[in-house]
Amino acid sequence: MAGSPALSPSSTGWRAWLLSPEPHSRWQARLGRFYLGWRAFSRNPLAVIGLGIVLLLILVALFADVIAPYSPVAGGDLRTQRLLPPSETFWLGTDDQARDIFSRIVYGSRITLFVVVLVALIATPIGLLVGTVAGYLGGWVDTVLMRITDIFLAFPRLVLALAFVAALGPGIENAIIAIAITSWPPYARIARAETLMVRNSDFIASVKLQGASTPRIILGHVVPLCVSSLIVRVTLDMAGIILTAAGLGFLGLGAQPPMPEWGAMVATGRNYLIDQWWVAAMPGIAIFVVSLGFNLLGDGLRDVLDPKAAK
Amino acid sequence: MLDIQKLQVVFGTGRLRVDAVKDVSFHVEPGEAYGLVGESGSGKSTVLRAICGLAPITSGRVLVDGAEVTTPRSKAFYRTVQMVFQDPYASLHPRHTVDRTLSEPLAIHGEKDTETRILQALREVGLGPSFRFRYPHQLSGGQRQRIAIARALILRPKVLLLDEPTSALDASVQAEILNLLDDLRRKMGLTYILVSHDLAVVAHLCERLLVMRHGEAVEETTSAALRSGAASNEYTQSLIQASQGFTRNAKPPLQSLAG
Repeated sequence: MAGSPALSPSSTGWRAWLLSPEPHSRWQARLGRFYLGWRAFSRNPLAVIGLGIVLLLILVALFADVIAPYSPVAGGDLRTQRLLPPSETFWLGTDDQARDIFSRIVYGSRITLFVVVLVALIATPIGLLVGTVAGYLGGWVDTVLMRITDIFLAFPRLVLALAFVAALGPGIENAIIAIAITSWPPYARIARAETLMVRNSDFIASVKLQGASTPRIILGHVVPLCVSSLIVRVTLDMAGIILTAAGLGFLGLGAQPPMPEWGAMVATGRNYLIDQWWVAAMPGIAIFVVSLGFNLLGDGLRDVLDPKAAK
Repeated sequence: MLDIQKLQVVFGTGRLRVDAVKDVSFHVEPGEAYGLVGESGSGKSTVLRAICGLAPITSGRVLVDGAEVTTPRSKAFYRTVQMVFQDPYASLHPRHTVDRTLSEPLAIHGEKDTETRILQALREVGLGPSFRFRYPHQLSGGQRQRIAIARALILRPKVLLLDEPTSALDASVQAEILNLLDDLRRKMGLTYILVSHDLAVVAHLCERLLVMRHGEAVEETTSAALRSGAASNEYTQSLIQASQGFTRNAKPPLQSLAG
């Protein structure tokens, strides 16, 4: 059985407590499960690097005030400090407004994190709910919900986001809403597929025979089985979300100046690409590293959480 | 306790129509153990699923305690009738601990003293409190089936529907589970309907039984008659013979068995 690996008899203390075959409380059982997952996860060095990058992003966003040496918005002396190359005073150089690029990237991490977290918080529950309800109830509910999903899937994400932002006006909040409403359909599809696999199983039949209501079955019994594959998918999508947000920023439809959004920063750097390459390259590298981090993390999580591999 | 009158179950329509159960009637007294026997596809499991609402009742009546069941079934019905499934590897939620599995029916019916009742339910099926916070993958097949039985009994039902409760287990564990079921019936005064293809299991647990074939009732007989080999029906005879295992010089099986 995958859940009970060879326990070395010498393991003592907290490890033995975590891996105890006879947990004494709900929490011990849950933590033990979590620990087994962590052990599988940490065996994959790339996944740990991904997790490190994501944690670093969170830390930088949290402590941006402490880390950034200059203001991200107010520039220095426009006559002497414009477009300076990386140096000891300005680690990553300055841009055309004489602002420190390093400080802007540090503050920009807040915007990136904000986008990623909000999109995940909006899109995942919608997709999960639509998918599990459609899959579990079947019949006309399934048809209606899935056709709506198909309609949303038929729109190219960036184009729908563009149309949405054009209608509501540019701004980071509208960009987030636009990305969220275009990213839930794949989650609904995944959740529905997982639901179809379990809806006719005996353990769902048995909870029906205990008289459980439909919402109780969906939320308490079906959703927990769909969550792990959704977490993997959402994590892997994070890179795409960051890129879409940066793309909207680049086109001037996302974050508005003077917000230090990475995509918008690349857009301003475009004008100086040949002579002052660092203005566009530094935020570009930041986007690249964070996207890579989320992808590596998603891959690692898939190895741990994939319901087909785990028993 | 349980009265099945001219039960008919049909799946699909038109060319896809399948008559799973045709005109089956039987009566089960309170405290009795009643067996349903037959080969695969004989409709015995469908009868069970129709009683508890997992399969539709196309026509006929199902009476529990003298009252006809409603569709969908009421909460009171689920407190009276519970079911144990065939495969204990599929009937427990893989992400729920034993504790969660057993507390779910109590929560649904708004019962109090969850703590004591879970421990009592575990004790009844011969498991200690150390099993309470385990996940299904930390249990053996026999232990899982005990948990499934505990879950079915925790609401104190009067009727237990057993759908081949031992056929997914190996022989020594089968005997343990059968003895446990027998003990529980005596102690709690339960009524059983046992579905099995194994005549030995049915003869061990049940007093009376119904032989089914192709969705029809073939013969109602007693397990005493079964043990002495006195079956009036040809098909029952061939089942008895088949259950005695392979013998090199046995009579060639009836043509009808192949159908």
